[in-house]
Amino acid sequence: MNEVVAEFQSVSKTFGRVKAVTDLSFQIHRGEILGFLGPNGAGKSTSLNLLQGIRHPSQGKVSLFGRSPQSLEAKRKLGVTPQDLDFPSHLNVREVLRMVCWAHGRGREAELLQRLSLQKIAERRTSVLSGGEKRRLGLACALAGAPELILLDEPTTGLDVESRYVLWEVVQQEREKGTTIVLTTHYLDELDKLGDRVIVIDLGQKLFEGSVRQIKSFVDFQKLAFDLPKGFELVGINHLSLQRDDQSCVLIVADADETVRQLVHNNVPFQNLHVSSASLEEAFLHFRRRSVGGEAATGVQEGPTRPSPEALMTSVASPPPTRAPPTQPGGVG
Amino acid sequence: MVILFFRLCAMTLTETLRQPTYVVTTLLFPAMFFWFFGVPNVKDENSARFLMGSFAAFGVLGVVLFQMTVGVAQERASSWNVYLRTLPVPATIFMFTRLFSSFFLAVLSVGCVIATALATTDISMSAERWIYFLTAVFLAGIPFAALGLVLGYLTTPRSAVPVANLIYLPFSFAGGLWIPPNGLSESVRQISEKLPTRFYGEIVWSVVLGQEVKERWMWGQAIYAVAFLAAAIYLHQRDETLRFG
Repeated sequence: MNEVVAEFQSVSKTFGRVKAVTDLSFQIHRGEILGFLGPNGAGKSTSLNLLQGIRHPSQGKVSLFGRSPQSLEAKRKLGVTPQDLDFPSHLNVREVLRMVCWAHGRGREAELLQRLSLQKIAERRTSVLSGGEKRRLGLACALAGAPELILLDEPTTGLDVESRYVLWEVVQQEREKGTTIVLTTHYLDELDKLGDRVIVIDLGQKLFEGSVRQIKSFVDFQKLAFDLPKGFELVGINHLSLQRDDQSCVLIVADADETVRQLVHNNVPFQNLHVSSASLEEAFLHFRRRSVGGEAATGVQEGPTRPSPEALMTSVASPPPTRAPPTQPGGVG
Repeated sequence: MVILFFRLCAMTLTETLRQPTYVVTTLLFPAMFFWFFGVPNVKDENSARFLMGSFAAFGVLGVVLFQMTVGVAQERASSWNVYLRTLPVPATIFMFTRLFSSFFLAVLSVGCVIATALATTDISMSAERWIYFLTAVFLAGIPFAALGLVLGYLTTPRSAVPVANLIYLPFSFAGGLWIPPNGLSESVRQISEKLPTRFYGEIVWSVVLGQEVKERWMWGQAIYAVAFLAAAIYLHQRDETLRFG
């Protein structure tokens, strides 16, 4: 588990004046499932592109199996499923997979077609595949070279239930075989089940590195969902984040009891109150939306305990030992 | 690697030949045009050779120009092309695959014109003359492959076909590949003498008629080849830096 298969050393990547990744350092260990989390534009895909050797770092060093990611030796051990992959439209599923297998010097398309439940559509042109079928074919291509490291860029986005099930089953099988997997996803529950380690990045910088359990313990928010009369203005309620439409409201709060007391105290005519734990995804995305000013002014008071995202992540990055001690080597960064 | 190269070529050709629009317009049109417009004007064997040479050159021009322009423009916008770079094969193999496939399709196009000529005219040439003709028609067509690369790097998938047509059709006509240069108007003839399609036509006509190939035609075509190749290399490097730098 501690063998390093890939490493970023103070890597920065700029596009003109835009800093996509800034001073990013981390290691990927053999056999782990590492999740890359962050909002759109955070630098996740750029980081994966650097790891695949598609892009060159502006500063710093990226190594893959101890070599340059551009080297053919490193690529032989790598399998990739890009976020959006448009296959050659006039070839069928079998031909596409065969071509990728040829590139890896392996003839295992029949095995992969079966494994990814693609046999029935093997002769179908890729132009008529559904989103789920394309993702399964993309995963089959990633497995073509029996890789030691698989990079999956948002592999389950837009997938139907069957395809998602097949995909996670394959990820589980690969994990059991000892394959290292790096993935970006918006579905944090999936990482919760399978992920060993998480790196949170935003604006190209690493905000957190640690276990899923660790990050969840620090983002221990609650979600209050309730109905409100149309046009009612919510004032004087502490919250971390708010989502509002015509007749309903969702608040992400640090203390649900206190917020309910405030709702009652302020005579807010709420109905159908539902309190639940906020998922990590909700907490992170709500935080992110708030931090970039994506919400319109609502007249709702920001909670006195509301930390900034930076403060949150700083606190996450330096956790008090009594809350959640690191479980991974070098897990807190 | 050699086996992989030919396998990839086969796959690229399979993909191309599954596009009926492409097959009809690019591979069959030169032969059809020769049959419709060339054959009725055949008066003797020399005119048959001349017209066959013209339409064969027209076929090569169309295949390489469209294969390169549209192919490169589409590849640059394709995530599949980016994905191929993650595979353990040199990126240049895919470029050579495209070049080889274009050459093969050009052979098919010329083959269709020759078959039409053999079927509809009394054309007869020695084996040596056929070899010279085929060598000339493919070698002298190289500048258009480079021009196709240049256009491919300057266009988008949406604009590639119209831009290629803007070059293909006027250059073919003004170069004398549809009607002989002496049938062109004076103003067009003046332009024609500076065009690569005219140099191309003159080289092919000279070879197919067994006449001496003038040096200025060969030098003209060589200069175009070098200029287009230099531009293609510059644009390729610029594109590589922009997309993969």
